[in-house]
Amino acid sequence: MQNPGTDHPAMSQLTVTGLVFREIRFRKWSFLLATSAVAAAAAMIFGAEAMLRVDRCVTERFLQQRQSETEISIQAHEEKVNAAGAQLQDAVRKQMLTLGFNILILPKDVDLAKLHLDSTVTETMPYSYAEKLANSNIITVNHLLPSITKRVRWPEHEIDVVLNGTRGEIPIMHRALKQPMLDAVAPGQMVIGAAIQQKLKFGLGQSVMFRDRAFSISKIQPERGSIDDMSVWVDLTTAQEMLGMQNLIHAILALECECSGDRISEIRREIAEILPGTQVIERYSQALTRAEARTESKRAAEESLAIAKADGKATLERVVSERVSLLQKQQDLNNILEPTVILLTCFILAAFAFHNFRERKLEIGLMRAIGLGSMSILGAFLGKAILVGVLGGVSGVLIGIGMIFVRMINLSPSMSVTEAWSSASLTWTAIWIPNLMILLTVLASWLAAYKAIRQDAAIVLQGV
Amino acid sequence: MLLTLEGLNKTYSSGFTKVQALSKVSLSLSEGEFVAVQGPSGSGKSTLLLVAGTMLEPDSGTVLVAGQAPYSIPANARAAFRASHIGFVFQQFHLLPYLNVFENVQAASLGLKGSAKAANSRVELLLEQFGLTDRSRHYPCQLSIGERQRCSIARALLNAPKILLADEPSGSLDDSNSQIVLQELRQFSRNGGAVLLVTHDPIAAQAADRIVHMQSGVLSC
Repeated sequence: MQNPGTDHPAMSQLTVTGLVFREIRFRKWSFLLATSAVAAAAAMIFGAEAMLRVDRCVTERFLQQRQSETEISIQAHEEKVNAAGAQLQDAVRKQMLTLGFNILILPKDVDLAKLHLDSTVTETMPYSYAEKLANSNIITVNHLLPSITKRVRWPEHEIDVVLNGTRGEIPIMHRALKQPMLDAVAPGQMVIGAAIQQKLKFGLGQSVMFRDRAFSISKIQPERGSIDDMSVWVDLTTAQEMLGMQNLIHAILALECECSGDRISEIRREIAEILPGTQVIERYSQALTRAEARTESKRAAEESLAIAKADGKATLERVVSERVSLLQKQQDLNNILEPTVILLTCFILAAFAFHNFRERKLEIGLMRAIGLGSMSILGAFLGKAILVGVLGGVSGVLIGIGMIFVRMINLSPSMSVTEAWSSASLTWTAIWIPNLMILLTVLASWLAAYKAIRQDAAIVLQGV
Repeated sequence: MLLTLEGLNKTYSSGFTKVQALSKVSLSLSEGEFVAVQGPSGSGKSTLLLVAGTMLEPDSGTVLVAGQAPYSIPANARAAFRASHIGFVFQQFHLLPYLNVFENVQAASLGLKGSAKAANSRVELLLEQFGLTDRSRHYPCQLSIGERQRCSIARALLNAPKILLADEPSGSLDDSNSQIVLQELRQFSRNGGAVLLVTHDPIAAQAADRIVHMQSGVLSC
């Protein structure tokens, strides 16, 4: 045993705070139990609150990610549809080169019977009509091609052919410049139909005479099974000169737009406004079928895209709804859990405080006997309660943080705890929960402390 | 007079039951006087002691300690007054179980403002006086019964009170330790202090200068 003296450890001044710590050390298991109860309560409240908020953040992030993925998927789908449409359009355009036009603008008085029987147009119209149409705001037709078409004798070879004079397409002014569907036939050159080639055995590049004019065969059309097989195509100006029809044309070929409803009526109405004294006939062709197929295909693709968009939206809405429902259930649980935990904590702490009070009744009597004031006794009780609240609250929050850490690993490995902490604004929660615990422990101990200072020390010491 | 009790009445109520613990009790103690109050259990001895010790306000009557009326001052001021004027010795010692011997004695200084160094020096002197120096770092549960009571007396004397109130201080002790305790009380009175001892033990009462008897709250010489 150390001899008491000036260096004796017990020589330090004894204070009420010192009494608190010595009492805690003496009843350490009781203190640890109370602190553990507070820590468990704080961990439950913080954990439940924090996990709910973190879940919300993770859900929001998940939904944003899903939305972004869906949007990207829809965009990719859309691009595919557009690309397929463009490919289809290009393919149709290429096919149109060989399939011909399907709208024919003719002078009003043309004898259609003769046209169909002889491929001969009986009336003419000025070439300026084609230019007028091209300079107009016409929307129902594309690819204007002024032409002369007349059945004539090819005297050099003693056969009848249909002479077509064409100059290539006239660009429509208000439209973006499109690639022409049919190339112009250059002056001095001639395109011939398949039947003529078979009959006269002409080859590409061969020089031929046609009504005293020299031409070079620039192209032989594949067999079409129509009057085209017995047709020749030359430059429009040349044809006009050959037929004595300077500045005149027989017809303007065009391709109808993708108009819905009664297309031909719309075309007729629009052209009649621009070119009075003309008539429009529709020549059914494979091009029209292809165009309709393209329209149908585009419509189907657009429908598919719309379905994909609707599906994506529905999936997102379903996911949102499920998550919201889940979060609501968690919130409902929290609404019951938190007050229950707080009440239980109060109850446990009050029980601890009253047990402590009963255990320390004689000490309190003695403290009064040796002259300690009521504030000092109150301080001894509440000091211990504050310590229980601080230690329990802080360690509970730390346990709660650990719970979030584990939860984050399972829930969203891509989101760090720091990120989740910041997104869920947990700093204030981490501050108010220990404070709440201090408040609860102080409140729970208050009654016991109040009873302690009101206790008649004399009665306690007498054992009455 | 160090202690004057005059016409004290005190009744305890418990439901419909009333117990007259003190009835017109008057007693005076002067400096150096050792008075024993002898009586059976429940006669009001302890109540008298606590009333005299400013811990239990009487229903009526006058209490003067060193010429002052302690019940006329607020509770906290009375606590400080008690700390500086009165020392208590109890039968059950009432040592704080989480403080060692040194600290238990030192605890009496909590109720007073003063130099810690002076208080600690006095603790050392008292421990030496009561033969507890070697036990200063021991806790109450490590002490013998006699050592506990000596420690309790040392605590009562720390603030150099003028009055020592002892409630059956030898009640839990063997003869040898009883003698030691009674000698210490005797010594305190010889040094000028007043001792009021309440006991039911006639042998213990013999240590006093004067013996008064108490029966059903009534004091008689």
